[in-house]
Amino acid sequence: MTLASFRDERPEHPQGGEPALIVDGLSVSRGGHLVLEEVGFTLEAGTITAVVGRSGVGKTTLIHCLNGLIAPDAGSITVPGLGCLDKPEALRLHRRSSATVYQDHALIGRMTALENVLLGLADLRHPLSPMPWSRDHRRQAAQALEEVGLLHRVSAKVRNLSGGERQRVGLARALVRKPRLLLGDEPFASADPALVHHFSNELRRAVDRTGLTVMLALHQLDVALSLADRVIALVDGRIAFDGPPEAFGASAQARTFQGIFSLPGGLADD
Amino acid sequence: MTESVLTLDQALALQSRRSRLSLLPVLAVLLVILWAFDYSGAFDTARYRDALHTLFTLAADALPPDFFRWSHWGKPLLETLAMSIAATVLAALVALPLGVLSAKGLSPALLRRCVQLVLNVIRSIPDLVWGVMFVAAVGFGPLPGILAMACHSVGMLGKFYAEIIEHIDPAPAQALRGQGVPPLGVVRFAVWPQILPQLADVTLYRWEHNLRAATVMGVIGAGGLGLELVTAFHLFEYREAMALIIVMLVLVSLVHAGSALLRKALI
Repeated sequence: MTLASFRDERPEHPQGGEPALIVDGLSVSRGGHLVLEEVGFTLEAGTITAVVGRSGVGKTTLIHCLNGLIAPDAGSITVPGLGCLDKPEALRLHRRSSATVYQDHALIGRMTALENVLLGLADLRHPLSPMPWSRDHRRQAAQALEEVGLLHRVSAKVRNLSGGERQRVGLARALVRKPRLLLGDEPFASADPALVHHFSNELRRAVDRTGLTVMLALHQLDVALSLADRVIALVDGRIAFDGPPEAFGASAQARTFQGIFSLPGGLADD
Repeated sequence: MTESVLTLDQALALQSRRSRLSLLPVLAVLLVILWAFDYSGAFDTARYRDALHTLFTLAADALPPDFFRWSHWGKPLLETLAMSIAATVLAALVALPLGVLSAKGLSPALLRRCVQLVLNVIRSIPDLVWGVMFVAAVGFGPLPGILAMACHSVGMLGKFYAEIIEHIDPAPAQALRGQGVPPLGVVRFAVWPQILPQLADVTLYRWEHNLRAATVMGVIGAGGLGLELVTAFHLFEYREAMALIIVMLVLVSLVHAGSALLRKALI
């Protein structure tokens, strides 16, 4: 079983090269501070886009806008075939076909790995249903765990797992949804380099075979450059660079990350 | 996006000023504690002169414990146990919705403050006072005891439940909202599994508390083992009172062991 097989049964998915999501003039302010300003781009189906930038630059806010957790103050997000996400039904259908992996894993420590992955299917159940999870759902969750190489920890409580293992459970919870759009807020933050390499390869295979669209906020620039088809760099809430990773050269990187080590006594002075 | 630039000396000076400031509340609390002991006469050594002797005399009068009337204690014992269970369950059922309504972020601020005020008022009336009122309202027996303990427990549990709900990790709930799960589903799948062990923990603790409180309820005519205990004291039957205390101790220990097993299973 490969990560790609999760997507095989979704024929309605847009073909590679077609727009999967259109963001136009997106602005978000929080606490009187403008976090995102006039952000616009179009995600092509079957591509991996990396959002890079300094901490606090608005990467997480952007991801949260795309999964509907934050309503923008201005601008629009449109999914071809569904319409603008400010309409509740469009947002519901968009959420149904997307999934997000979170930096802090967003798992429940006292529950097992399988129970946490099942939460990825919570929108398929009635909130007051007294029935246990169906055999089919449990099987899907186990398959997702197998995909991230964690089937042997199926009954382990998440609080007893390592940081990397938790990250994999978070990834499995997203994969079990068989998403058309996979969003990630620093999804590799707790994974070691070998695991990052493995997931990068699996993601690429899934994208190439099924047309899955991926957008990841990443702080590991090397991962972003080696994995993504496209890099969007944010500086002060605005897009400072948008293009292929080959074009994201030293000067663009310096403009994106300038100031990190410019404090007195910082590394830049060495 | 500009960081305020501090020199090392400025940063250390700022930190040490904050440390000095944090000493003031500690000193203030110490002074209040000393005043409380002094004001309540705890430093009056003359008061302790005959205390030990009197306590030893009372203890000697109560030994050995007299279990002669043990066959009469079964019903009051069960009454006490039943009162504690019924009062705790009743309180938990009422306290849970009130706790949700008084938790930050889950209900409008005005409603939250109103519910908090109600919980404060309920809590500040001792269960014995509630007991006196309910004995007058529904007569003698275990029922006024149940209602009295339930009322006071609602005030306590409601506050604890609200604090538990406020301190859950919001990330799993946010993740479920992000995938389109409706609010009720978020409560069921992300909030409930997180709060369940702590809810069970404080409720079981409250059950143990109510078991002890049910004994005291006997004093005001609310039945149970407490009535036997008070009667024994009034008749100067200290040996029988000691036996009753031992029986209570065994019951409390059994309930404690049982609730410890339940806690272990849930956490």
